Amino acid sequence: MLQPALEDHIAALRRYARALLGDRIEAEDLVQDCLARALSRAHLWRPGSDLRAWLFTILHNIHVNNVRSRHARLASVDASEGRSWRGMSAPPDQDTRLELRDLERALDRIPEEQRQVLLLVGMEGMSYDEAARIVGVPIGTIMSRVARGREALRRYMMHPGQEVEDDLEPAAAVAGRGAVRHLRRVK
Amino acid sequence: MDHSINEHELHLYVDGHLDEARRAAVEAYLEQHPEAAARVRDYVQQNEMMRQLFGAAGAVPRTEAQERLLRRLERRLGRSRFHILWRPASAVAAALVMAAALGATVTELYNSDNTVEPRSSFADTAARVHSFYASAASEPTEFGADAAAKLNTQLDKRLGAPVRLPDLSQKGFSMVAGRLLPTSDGVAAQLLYRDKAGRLVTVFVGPANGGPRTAAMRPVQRQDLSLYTWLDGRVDVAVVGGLNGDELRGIAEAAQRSLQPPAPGDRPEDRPGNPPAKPPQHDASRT
Repeated sequence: MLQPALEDHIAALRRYARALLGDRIEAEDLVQDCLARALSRAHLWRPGSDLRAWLFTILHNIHVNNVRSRHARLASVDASEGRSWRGMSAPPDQDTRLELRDLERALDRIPEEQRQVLLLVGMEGMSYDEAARIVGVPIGTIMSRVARGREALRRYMMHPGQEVEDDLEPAAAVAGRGAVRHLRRVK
Repeated sequence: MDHSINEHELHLYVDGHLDEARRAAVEAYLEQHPEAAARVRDYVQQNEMMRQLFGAAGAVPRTEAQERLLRRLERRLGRSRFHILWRPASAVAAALVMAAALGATVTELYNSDNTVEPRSSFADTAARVHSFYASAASEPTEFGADAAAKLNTQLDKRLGAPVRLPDLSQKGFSMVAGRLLPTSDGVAAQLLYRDKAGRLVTVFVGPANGGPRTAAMRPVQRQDLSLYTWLDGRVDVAVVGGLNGDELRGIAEAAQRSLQPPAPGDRPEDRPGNPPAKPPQHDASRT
């Protein structure tokens, strides 16, 4: 074996978790939980099948459960959490840095189901079919989330500082990546 | 040609999931529709920026717990099962890992301000890429003809010029991996070769910076690695490996011969010792 495939997949999971959750520690925990569950279910993995998709599906399911249980605890939680800006890789100059920050904020403001799909398809280069299997929705839903998510990001990038209107309730816009937005989850 | 382009196809185009014919149709459409073209440009940029933003999060050292789990999982799943060679779907991931692992190179990737002397930067990148993947290589494996053909197609597209993957079999080296990676000058390919003794050589091929030009082969030293680099008018090439200078030079010369653009009447496939020409097929399975 030449390519450290499993390590590559874990790097992808960490990237994805970080982008999804915003918070570094939460993201690392999610990946750790994912690996632990993968280990306990290693016997279920079919050799030759897509390992990356398997791992991402596990991570996605754990995340959905986490969100559900947080949702249950939510009544008394102040929704100001989740506003931590992530560190960047290595933006070279000021303009790019600002653009990256705008995109990061824009990602924060779009609905999570759109963010997930944009990350899987756009950042990780997955096919729409693969993303559909991981998220557990029909491919048509993936396509419409991609289209709406990208348009929302684009509008935000054109007018940074303003809230993205489409698909976002006022409360969710204020709470950003915090818990309140998760209430909107339909799935 | 069908000129009706729907919204979804624009997104499939952005994500590189269209076959040649549909891609051409979308491009023709975009030329006529500047507004759609502007959107597509923005979408492509979004993808790129997401990779910039989060690439590093995947490459910083794993936590201790993750590391332990990784090792156990690796044993459980069995390393032999991870025969994942080059695939289009994993190319982006590999490029991300690579970009982040290269550290300083990440800055170069997106910095259009070419203050770095390009030749030395290219050699640096080639050396780092080789070290990174050579240390990861542990078991011998084969890079199948299918995978090679696919990589070749992608590389031709990226470089905008047909390139033949070098055949180093006469030097006892066969290709065991290949991948596309971002560099400051565009997408480059790392082609990894191995001989029976397990020694590794990288042929690193990137777009010639600033238009066609040539430079003779010359040796370069990067830490404990020897390199030979040259420009053949269309591509920038570096050959890297932990071999002694003379041997590496022989391999570099073989690679150079393989890579040379065919003269009229002297098509490379007619020469002995070269693999048969790849079929000019495009991967349409992911559209």
